[in-house]
Amino acid sequence: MAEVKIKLFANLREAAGTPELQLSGEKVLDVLSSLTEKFPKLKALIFEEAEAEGKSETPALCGYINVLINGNNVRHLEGLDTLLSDADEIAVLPPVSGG
Amino acid sequence: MDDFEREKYSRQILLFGEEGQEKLKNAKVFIAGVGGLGSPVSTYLAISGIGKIIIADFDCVEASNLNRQFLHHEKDIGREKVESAKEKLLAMNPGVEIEVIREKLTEENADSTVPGCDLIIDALDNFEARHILNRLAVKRKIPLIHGAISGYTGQATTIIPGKTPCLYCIFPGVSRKETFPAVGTTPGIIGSIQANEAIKYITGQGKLLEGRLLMWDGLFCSLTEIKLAKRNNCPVCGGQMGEIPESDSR
Repeated sequence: MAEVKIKLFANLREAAGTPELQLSGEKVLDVLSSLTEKFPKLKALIFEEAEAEGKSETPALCGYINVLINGNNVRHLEGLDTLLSDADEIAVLPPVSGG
Repeated sequence: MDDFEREKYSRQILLFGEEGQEKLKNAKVFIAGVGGLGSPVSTYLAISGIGKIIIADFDCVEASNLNRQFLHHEKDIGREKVESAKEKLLAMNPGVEIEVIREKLTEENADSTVPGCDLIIDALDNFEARHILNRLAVKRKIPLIHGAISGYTGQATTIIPGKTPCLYCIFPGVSRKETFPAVGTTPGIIGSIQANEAIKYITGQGKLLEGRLLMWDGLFCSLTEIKLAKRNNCPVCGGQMGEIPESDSR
């Protein structure tokens, strides 16, 4: 189990009522699951709806959410299965694409 | 530089000297988009005395733009944004040259549409177009100053090809198709940061937002910085190798 720091931004920060917190877990999925259990409003913002059109039960990251571990996007790593180390910093970024 | 220019730019000449002002005058900057971000970016760059500004946008002004895109006024509804913007920018500073491009940037036309320039500014409103611009910037090894906003939230980073992560290293995905919410102050703040980065880059002052993503949260009035890392073997910029793969760089 790794102790990591989670940083939340924009509507994710609003929904959680805090800009950052410490959580522990082996993988990104463990930590994000703990996060959404703690703040249920975050669940629909971070994860795809599992029950949609016979999709598998495996949780999937919402398409427009970006999760960075120490500045590396998990989409370039092992996604939700990416292993964590102590003191990793995880930033959960909402879609910011307008201009 | 003539006496009037010395007077007009005197407050910034105090910062970077006539030498810095000459650098601005000799610079060519390409701004993709003259909407919410493009309005403050092009305004600050024009009045700072950048020699040539190339603005690209294929949209026309709509009523829903007016709460934030301050270069466009009610009388401009229906007009091409590039024409409306050019008129205002030249009224503010007739000493700059403004070139307009009305075409939508695509993978096919980007290279021929975007003229040679020293700096590219991303004032776009979607990630599909941003990835096209990112690939072009990496291919030409031209710095790209990224900005994006939604609601009260904004972000910015400065991409130096070969040195920092590229936009694909940071945000490989595309945009959600949505009408994004926005108050005018959010692109005002982010666009000002982008213009500030451009002035610093051209005059060679300060520390750029290299390898750092700045997140602005207007609801809490807070700025946070996230350190960024290059993607290993990035298909666009080559990632940590720092080399741009020929076949994939397009």
